[in-house]
Amino acid sequence: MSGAHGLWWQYLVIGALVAASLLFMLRKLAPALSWRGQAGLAAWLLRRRAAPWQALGRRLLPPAKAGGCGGGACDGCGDGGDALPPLEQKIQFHRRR
Amino acid sequence: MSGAALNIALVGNPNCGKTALFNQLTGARQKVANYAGVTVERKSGSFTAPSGRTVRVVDLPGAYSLKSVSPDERVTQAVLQGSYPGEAVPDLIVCVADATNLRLHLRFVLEVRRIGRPMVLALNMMDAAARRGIRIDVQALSQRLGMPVIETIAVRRGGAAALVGAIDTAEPAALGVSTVPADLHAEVRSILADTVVMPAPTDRRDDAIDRVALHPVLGVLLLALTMFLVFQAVYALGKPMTDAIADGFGALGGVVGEWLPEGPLRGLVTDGLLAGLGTVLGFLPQILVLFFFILLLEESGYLPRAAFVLDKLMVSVGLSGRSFIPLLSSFACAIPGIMGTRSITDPRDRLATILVAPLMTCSARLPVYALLIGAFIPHRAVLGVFNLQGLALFCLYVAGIAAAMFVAWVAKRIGRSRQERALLMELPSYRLPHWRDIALGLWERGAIFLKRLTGVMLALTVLMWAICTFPGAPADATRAAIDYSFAGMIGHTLQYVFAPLGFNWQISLSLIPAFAARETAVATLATVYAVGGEEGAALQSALAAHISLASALSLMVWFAFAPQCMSTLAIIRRETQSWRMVALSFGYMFVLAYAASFLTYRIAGWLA
Repeated sequence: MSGAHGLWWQYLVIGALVAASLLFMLRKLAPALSWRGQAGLAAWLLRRRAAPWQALGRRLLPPAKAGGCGGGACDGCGDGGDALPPLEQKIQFHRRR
Repeated sequence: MSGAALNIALVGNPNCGKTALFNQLTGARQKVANYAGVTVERKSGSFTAPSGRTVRVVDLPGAYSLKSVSPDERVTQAVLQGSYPGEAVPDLIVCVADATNLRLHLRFVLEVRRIGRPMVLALNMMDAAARRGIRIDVQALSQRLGMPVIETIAVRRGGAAALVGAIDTAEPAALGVSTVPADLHAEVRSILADTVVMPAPTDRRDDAIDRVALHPVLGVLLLALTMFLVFQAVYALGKPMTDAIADGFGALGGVVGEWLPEGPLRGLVTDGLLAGLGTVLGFLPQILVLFFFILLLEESGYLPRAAFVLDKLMVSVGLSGRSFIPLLSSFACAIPGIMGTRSITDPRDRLATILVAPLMTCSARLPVYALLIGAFIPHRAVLGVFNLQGLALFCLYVAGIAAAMFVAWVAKRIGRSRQERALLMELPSYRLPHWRDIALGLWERGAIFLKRLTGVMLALTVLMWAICTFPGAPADATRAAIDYSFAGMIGHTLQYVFAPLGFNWQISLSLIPAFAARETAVATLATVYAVGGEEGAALQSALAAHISLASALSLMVWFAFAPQCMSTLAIIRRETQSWRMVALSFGYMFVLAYAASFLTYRIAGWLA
């Protein structure tokens, strides 16, 4: 039992690492969803009366724009995710006559 | 001009050195290469001029005309005309022209001049012009064009100093629109006759090399031989370094394992981080060797020749020579390759290229191939010279290319397209590689790999270790502990789908994180086998002990054709603005990969 008690800090570290990894992957793979979640949490905190919660809510407010390719899981092209979308319109794929 | 930042735009024909100049001015490290179409979107940076004035520089995609036909040219046109969202009209246009090819480039200069904005002409590649004996009367040219003309050598340190001085001191005034004649070609001929002395229209050395490189038979053989030697080098040069890194991480795992106290954290560090990430990191040297040769070819000016040689084949399967450069970029990563299709003018060609680009073997697949080849293909010489492992790698790359050609051909048949479009492509002069650019390119690739390793792959490895470890085995367990974990449950469930391909549950499990980043399959396999009790054994030995040659070949074929990572699908969505195309891309690749792996497994099993 004493061995199991001595391991609590290890489980704490592992729990924190797993939570951070989950959040990181969520931000990478579903950026829109994660920004929406963050915005929702920030809005909920901003509605609290206590000043510390409101301050935390302000800190959590997501930036106004998240464009580009979303900086996806790839990281292959160094896209910081701040590029404007391309000017071109939707590709029309017409059958040739 | 006010005291506010000065906005300048770099424009010009493709491959005249705009991005090299942009890097010189701003200290950026944007990709440069010796062929047209490297830059397909606008990039911005800034620098402080000697006077203290802040200058914001926008690097625009190359364009042959302001009557834009391709998506990348439309960006240039929109910025110059002030209609690009969020981009101010430039205060000064720096038009960059290749001094060795003014006959082509001056036409665009005159066209841009029609806009009437303040302009400066940067005569780039003056060193190459001098070597070829081309003499340009800069003063006379400046008078004829009615704008300052500055000589630059963008690839040389300090080669843009004169341009910085001109930008800093000039108070550019708008040009008169009426001064530009209607017949631009006639005007260019007249200007050249007055200001330029050119001994020969092309370089004699280029002509001599092109007699072989552009030959219909010799050219194809040269290309095949070049690619073959590159893959041989990946194994001959990269393998010893890969082995050394793997040994180093093995030793480090032993030391850290002894130092950390008993418990799950030791398992995470040794079985997860060191075993998983260490195995992937070991393949960095092979990736860098591959990129070294790709950068060498990019710098030399050979790649557009390869596109020219392959044009007939590409057209026969429904693509065009213009598709070659985006497809080649996909060997690094499908994302820049798919974005590179913006230089393709025909929407149908562009779409076909987007759909087949993920079949090109991206660098993320190299660790998976290297792992399986190292485990199952013997390290022996073929014909006394060639390395069998390098030959296997070459075959996998060829399989990806062949599949892309096949899919494009099928798309052409389905689309009933009979139209063939001529390839018009500028062939740049051959040049010796600039070692600084190659070193920077390798540095960038290494940095991207390490960023992935310490970002996505690290996070996924932690998660994979956690699901491999928890929940623990019950007290009355009869099987290995990992079989009771979440990973075991997921893997055994997935195995129902992948068993016909010869995949065990560990391999089936590794396909999930591979969808986020391909290399993570290697880290996952290393973690699964380490947690599963393969203590001290290298991953290659563990794989050789647990799966058959037929399964390994099937897995390699799966990775050659399987749907690409999620980021690739996201970029397909962005570039085509269509979820249908995403579904089509994912669907056809899944079916192709499944069928090819199934056949490979059955045939290999039968032969064995």
